[in-house]
Amino acid sequence: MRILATYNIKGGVGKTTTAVNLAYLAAQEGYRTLLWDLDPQGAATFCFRVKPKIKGGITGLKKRSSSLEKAVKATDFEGLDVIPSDFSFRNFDQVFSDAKKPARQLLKLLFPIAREYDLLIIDSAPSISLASENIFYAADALLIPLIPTTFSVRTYYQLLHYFRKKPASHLKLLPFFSMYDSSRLLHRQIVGSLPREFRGMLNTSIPYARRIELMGVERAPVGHFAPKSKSDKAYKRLWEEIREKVLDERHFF
Amino acid sequence: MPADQLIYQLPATLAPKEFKSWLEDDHVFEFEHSKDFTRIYLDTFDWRLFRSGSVLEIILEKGHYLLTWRKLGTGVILDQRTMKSLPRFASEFIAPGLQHRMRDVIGRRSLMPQISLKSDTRKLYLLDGEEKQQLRLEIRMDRVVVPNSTGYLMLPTFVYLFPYRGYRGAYQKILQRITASGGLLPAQKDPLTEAMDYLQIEPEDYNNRPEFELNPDREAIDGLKEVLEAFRVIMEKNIQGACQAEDPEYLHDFLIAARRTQCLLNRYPDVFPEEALKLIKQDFEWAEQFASPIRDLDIYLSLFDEFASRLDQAHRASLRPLYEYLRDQKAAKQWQMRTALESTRYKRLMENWKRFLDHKQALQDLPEAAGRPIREVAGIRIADLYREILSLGRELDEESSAEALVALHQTSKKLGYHLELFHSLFPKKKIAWLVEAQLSLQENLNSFHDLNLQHDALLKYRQKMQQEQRTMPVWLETMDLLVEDRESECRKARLEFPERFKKLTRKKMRKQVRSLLEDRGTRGRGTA
Repeated sequence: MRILATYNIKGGVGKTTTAVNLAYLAAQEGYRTLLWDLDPQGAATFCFRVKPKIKGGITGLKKRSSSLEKAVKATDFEGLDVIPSDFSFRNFDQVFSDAKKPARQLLKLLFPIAREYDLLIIDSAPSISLASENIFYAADALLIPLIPTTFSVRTYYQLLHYFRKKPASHLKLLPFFSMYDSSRLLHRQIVGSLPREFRGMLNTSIPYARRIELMGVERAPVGHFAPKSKSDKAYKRLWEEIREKVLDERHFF
Repeated sequence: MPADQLIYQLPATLAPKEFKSWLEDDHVFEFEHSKDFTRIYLDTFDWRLFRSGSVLEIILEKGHYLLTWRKLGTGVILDQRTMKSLPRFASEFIAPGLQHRMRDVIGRRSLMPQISLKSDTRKLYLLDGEEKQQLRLEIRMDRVVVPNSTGYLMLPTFVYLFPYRGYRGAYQKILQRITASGGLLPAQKDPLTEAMDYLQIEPEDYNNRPEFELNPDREAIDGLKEVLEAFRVIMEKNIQGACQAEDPEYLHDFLIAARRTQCLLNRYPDVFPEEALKLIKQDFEWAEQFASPIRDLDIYLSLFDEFASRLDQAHRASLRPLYEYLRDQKAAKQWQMRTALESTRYKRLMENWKRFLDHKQALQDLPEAAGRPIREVAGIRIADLYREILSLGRELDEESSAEALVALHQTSKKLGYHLELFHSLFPKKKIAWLVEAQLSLQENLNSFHDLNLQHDALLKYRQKMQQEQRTMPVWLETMDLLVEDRESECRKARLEFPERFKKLTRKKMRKQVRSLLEDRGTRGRGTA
């Protein structure tokens, strides 16, 4: 099972919409996909109409290794399951801080279900904490949505600074622009200049679009309620890029 | 997913519409009606999925293929997912997990549509308060498409349950309702089996390596003809697939049969009438020369994942020109083989061959050993081949040429064929030693032979590359790395050889082989 995580220190940058749409597209392509909504706000869970509740909460997951397996819920889409959010996920750091090797706990929890899925996408909460360290340890790649604004880009520099101090050589950093509004000069300037500075920056930008906002109303991925829309096409391009960079092992060239 | 019965039969007295209304009395369902779409059951030509107790069905839905791999009979889902294109080979299942599981069952065989159904399906999705689906129930009214006709055969109406993970309660509630209150009974037969019965399809017992239980006292000519006839049938079954390159297994099985046929024809001059078979033998050799190189190329092409794993990222990309070169070579050779195997010469060969096998010759018109018991005649050949292997193997040392090892490989293969075909003629406890030792040696020699072939092919390709102007230095570097890797693997195989060969030369083994002949009262040709 390969693990991708949408991550940014900053909130409101499009992590959840990215996680939901990529998970949907992966499942549509035949990957048995699991989405873990680690954000206690539970927006990804809401998008799939699943109740944001896990029996026993985060403490239950720590106590019983079978709890995670039992928490998995099928979505209405073939090949796509979700581990719903639970409000107790806000206590992740507190619950796991006294564990032996605290940064490896997330991976340990995943062990019983790892064989059932080809791909896990984690939708993480905006912070830099023990929970994020667990994600960095478990994931193969971090998908980092960046709004083309100074503040958003600054948080990416902070993250790079963090990885200079605590390197994670197994982890691919895949930043991409999200909520890009081509009518704004600043967005155009940043999108035009930044990719030259960052290695691994993905070519696809996700536009700022009404369709994406409507996901909360439709409670479904864009590809389901607005197939072939501009937003759907952008997510498809993004998914193809990510798949090529992280998942296409079977191609030897 | 629960290991329960998930397919039920709707009683003939209950109309699907009534059943649907009855279900909706108590629960909220979302309803979807799809009419006249095609449902296809995929399997390999030799029904490997069916034989393994599973069913693979596929439908085209909303621009995607929905694939359901389920257990035969119960309907328990093994895998269900959407796919962009219709998979033909295990390697085309994009997700690695499914790819491996499918490969375990179908090997390198291609999937093909075996049975088509025209379906009228009513889907009912059980919803919760958030309008989230908790279970899917399908009422399927399927008609079997009769091949090469416009006719259909109506199947019984089946009700399929698709429980959703994490919603076991909903599943149990519906199950209870349809079985206890509704009186639905589990399907007596899987819908696929039902369709097969309607079409009178019976998956034949295909095996590319048939087991023979020959009567040891049978006349050698008849025993050998029985074996050869089985291989003739295998060749006939695979020729079309091999010519059309549907999957590499057709050619593989064709060659298995062709090589064993040639081996037997050449090894029994004292059983078969030489003059009558002269032309047939020549024609078999002629046909094999077209087929064998393609098999080698199939093997090289299947090795690319291994090649890639031996290289770093920088060199991996350089495999592409080699891959394309081999693929083009295969295409050219495939065309040559197809021309040959579809020619009048090949057709005439197979007609003559069948005529020969069908015709019962008088013993006085045949060579002397034809009338002797098959056990005795086969035993002598086994002993001869064993002795030949010992003599070739003893001459080998670290300095011996690759050709010498390859010659031993060929002889060992022939002994392997004999043991595979005739082991049942001898007491198991006596022949088992030899079978085990020969297999162990064969495995080692096969490795050496394959690696050596790959090494030579890579070198040849490197030379060709060097002569071309557009060759990039990194391509040559990649070839050097692979050649070196093959050389090192060959060395490893050589190092293992003495140990494996020793097993065959043990005094106890020689005694066992000798006793095989003595038991049958066959003396005079000697053994080791």
